Amino acid sequence: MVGIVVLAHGTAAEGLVETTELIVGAQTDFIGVPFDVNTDVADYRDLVVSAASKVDGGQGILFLVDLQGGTPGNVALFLSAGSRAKVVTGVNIPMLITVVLSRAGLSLEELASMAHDAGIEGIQNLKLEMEE
Amino acid sequence: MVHSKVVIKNSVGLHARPAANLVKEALRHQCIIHVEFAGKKADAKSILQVLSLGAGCGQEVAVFANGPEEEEALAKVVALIGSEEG
Repeated sequence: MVGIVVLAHGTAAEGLVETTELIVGAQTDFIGVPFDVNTDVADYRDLVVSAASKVDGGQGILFLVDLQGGTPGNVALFLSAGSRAKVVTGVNIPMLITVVLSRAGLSLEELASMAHDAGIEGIQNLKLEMEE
Repeated sequence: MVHSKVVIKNSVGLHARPAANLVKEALRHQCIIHVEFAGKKADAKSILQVLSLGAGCGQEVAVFANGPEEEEALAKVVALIGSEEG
């Protein structure tokens, strides 16, 4: 099974993991890493490497990150080079609940594609219309 | 293809956690499973589609299963939706 690492500025990653598990139940190989903006980037990268090694079952690592171009996303992208890892940006709850429920049997590439599509599908512009 | 209608028993309807339970059950089966409500059709293996149905407690949904072991899959999904946990 593909391991999943959530990366975001501040403590959002841990919150996203906690909320996801509240909805779908406790998960294995699924972890969030906080990013204190005062942390040295090399130290943060070590934390991310450590987290990735914990969830790596040999099927690859999917990094789900908050922003393209931010430190969490840049570190994930750096680590994905030349390794069995992919990065999807814009992490949100619809993306997370979809991938953790469906990842069994899916390849890293299939799961990354599913994460991308679910993240977009989960964003809707809604208004409740009152019935006459 | 087999199908059945069932009334939602969970007090909050097919909201996030019940929908997750439904998807987990659906994913255990190879066959295609759909849930229909108010003219909308959801793949029971997609939590976002199930949530988009907006089906509440006391409302009736139709479940369709098509493929290997469809009878068993239909029975399991209908039983879950018709229980207070589903």
